[in-house]
Amino acid sequence: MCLRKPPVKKFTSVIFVFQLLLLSVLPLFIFLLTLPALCTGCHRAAPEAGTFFTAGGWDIPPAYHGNPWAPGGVGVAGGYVYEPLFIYVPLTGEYISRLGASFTESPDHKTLTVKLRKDASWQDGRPFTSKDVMTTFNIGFIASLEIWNNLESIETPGDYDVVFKWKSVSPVNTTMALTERITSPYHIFKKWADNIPDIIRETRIEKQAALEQRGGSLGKISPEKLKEIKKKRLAKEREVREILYKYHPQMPVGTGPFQVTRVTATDMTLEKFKSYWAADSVYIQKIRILRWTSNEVIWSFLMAGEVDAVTPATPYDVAQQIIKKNPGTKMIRSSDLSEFGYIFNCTRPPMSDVNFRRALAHLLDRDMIRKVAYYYSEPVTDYTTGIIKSYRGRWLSPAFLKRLTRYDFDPKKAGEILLNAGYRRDAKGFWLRPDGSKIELEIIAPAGKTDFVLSAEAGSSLMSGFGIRTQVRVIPEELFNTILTERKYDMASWYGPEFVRFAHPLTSYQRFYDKFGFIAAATGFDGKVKGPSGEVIDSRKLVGELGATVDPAKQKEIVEKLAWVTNEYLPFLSIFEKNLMIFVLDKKHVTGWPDASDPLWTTSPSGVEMTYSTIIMKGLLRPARAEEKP
Amino acid sequence: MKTLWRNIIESLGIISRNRRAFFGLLGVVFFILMATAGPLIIPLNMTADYVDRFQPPSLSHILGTDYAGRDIFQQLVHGSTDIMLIAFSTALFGILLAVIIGILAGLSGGRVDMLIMRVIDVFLTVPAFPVMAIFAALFRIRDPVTFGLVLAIWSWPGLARAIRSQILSLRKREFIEAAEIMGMSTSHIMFKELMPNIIPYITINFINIARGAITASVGIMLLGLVPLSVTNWGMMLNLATFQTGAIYVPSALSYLLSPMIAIILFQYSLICFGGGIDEMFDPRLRVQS
Repeated sequence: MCLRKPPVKKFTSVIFVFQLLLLSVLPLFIFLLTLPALCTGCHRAAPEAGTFFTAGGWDIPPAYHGNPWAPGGVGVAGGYVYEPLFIYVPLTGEYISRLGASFTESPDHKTLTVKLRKDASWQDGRPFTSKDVMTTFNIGFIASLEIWNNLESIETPGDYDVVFKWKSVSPVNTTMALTERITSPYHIFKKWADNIPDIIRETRIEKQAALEQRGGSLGKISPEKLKEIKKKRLAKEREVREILYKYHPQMPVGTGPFQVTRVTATDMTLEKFKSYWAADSVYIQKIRILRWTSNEVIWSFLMAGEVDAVTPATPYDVAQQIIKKNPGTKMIRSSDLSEFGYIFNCTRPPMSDVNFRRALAHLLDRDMIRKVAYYYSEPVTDYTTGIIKSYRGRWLSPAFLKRLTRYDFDPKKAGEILLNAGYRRDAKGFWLRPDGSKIELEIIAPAGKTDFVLSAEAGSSLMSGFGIRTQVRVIPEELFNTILTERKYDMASWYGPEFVRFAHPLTSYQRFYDKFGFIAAATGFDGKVKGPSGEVIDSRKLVGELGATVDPAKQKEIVEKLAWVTNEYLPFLSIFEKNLMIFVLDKKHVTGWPDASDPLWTTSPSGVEMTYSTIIMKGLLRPARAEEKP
Repeated sequence: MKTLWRNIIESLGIISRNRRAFFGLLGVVFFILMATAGPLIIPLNMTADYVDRFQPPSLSHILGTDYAGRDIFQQLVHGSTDIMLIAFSTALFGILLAVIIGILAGLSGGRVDMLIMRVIDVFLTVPAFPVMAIFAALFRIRDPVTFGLVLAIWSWPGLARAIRSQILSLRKREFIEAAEIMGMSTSHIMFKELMPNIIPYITINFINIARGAITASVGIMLLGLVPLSVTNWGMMLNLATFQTGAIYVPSALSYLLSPMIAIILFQYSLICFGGGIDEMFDPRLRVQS
């Protein structure tokens, strides 16, 4: 009997063919879905004349509060709304005047006198005076501003004169005082600021008494009384802080060239402050800041020509695509004043063995890691001194560098160091410790930080290829610092030397060897070691001495000793000096960006928004088309 | 033994008569071979060669190269071992937990049922992500099977609840009542009478859990609970899309598409094969087709 095929089977076959077809076009379909990201913002209305477009971060309303001191602050707006007394240009050592007109230092470096400009005013119309500077620093006391470690007092002998008196001299005192943003007008913050001098006084008494007690003498205050004073002071401080945090003006009030007019979840608008002291040279009328969610979104903005200036860390090929799509885009590379590499946990074997660390320094092809992780950075393939490479010439002479061990890429030498130190390979070629146990290491990197993750991955591949079993573990950002300071890791991909803000080795070596230094805590290496001639070098003590001298010769002498310890004992291995990648789009909305070699760009590590704001304030940046000029 | 072989041949016969299921079977076999024999045949070289990054497919690199100039095909092959182990172990542990707990709740009733249901409610309401973050801070997981077990902890409650409902409904049917009257043991009722009726349901959920495990594994890696593996297909896709900018580089298209297609094909094979198994256990479906 001949049976006809049931129709349902034909139907099933049709569905099957359809599914196969769907399957073959699905990847293409998914890829097409990603295309809108490339065209992000295509729907936007034409920009208003004289508008500068950039990107940045802030708390999404209603969390946005406009209080510079409360958690979250004012976000990216701070660089445009507020100004410091001066802008420090690390490359030239020059100070650009903002709220300060001039400054003088006493010959003993114990006093800094700043004359303020008289034509500045706050965005609510009130004049800017020396009281506002004092208010900012006083509130900074309860916000633990670093300057208070050295500051004795601030005095305001006149409406436009501020005198900083220092407890002790330091090479960074002047820069620290001059570059702090002045955020707190007295007429708004007086209710908090007026209580602070008392808190400062009480803290001083308390510290003095504590010092006397530690020295063995009872002094004028008994321990019980001291406890009581401390309790009262802390309660007062907490009260001020709590009320201060509750202050939510919505929009910040500053003295800068722009004021915030609108904040949404996607963008922020700032308009020119008409009464700004340099309003005549500010040609930009409006700033629109698109919210920075992730690097790939910013790359899309750049490809679409939606932003005029922005600084995302970008792989080589993506940067090339951006420049190809927008020929008006220039990429300016400016040192981030920091070096990036691997932190070693010097308390955990085998990382606790300096020979093992030295072997790793020879084994890792640092230039290759740099290319994979952050192409547009400066390679550091020789020494790890704690001084960032671009500043080596200022602090370390070529003759001194010659005396240091050079860690060139040389896997053969790495093998020799390990063998001489008692390590050996097993039958499969994996390295074993001198006691015969297996070596299994982990490199940790913070989640979401692409460059650190890629660097860790590249390093782990090289180490595994050499026979040192290594894995990468990505740690949520919130846990990363804790895991490091609790030393629950072997190696970590993170920042090492940092010169940010003062462009001085002090900040870097404080990180490495100070009692509260982050790297000191993470590595467990205190830097108390035998020097080149067998003498004991106490790095922590040296850092204290470096922070208390303004004598250039003495500073250099101390820096050389610290550089020697860092390079020979390797608590950290530098891989590259990080560059900021500042993409600027010329002639679309704005024009007049300074040349890549302009020293102004070297101010960007302290906040690129302040750099843009200075460029605008100086009248360099103008609307791209003639009709857009004000 | 003879019966087992006869059963296997019979099952294969059923699957081979359905083209979709046969395609699924071939796919699953292909991926299992890729995961088991692949790494023995194709060595993995993870040494970076930056000059060769983002190469399009060629004779030397049949699927091209990644952001560090490493062969994508090698990574897919070696990544498949972890993917299969994670996907199958998650699904296996998840299903085991769900079936045992679901049947136990459905059959016991009363306080045991109530207690189990409250536990399920807790698992369903507690968000997995923060708990995983805590796990990440406390534990170190190094092998894919343990990884699968951790993923399975959050994959069973929904299914267990559904199985319990099925059992509650099946319990009232005549054939169960008949078995009970005939004095059959609980294990007989559980495995011989009830189980065949919930097999299709379990099969589909097995595939769903396996599929979910692949995507969830990336999140878990980014939480730091397990070491990051750049050969994991989900991580390859994540790196291509979010971390290395491959999505913006035309020559990197194959780096973006390769893990995507591998994941789609693997999941589609599972779905097709699952359909075949469904048919194998349900004679009514066989009659229809």
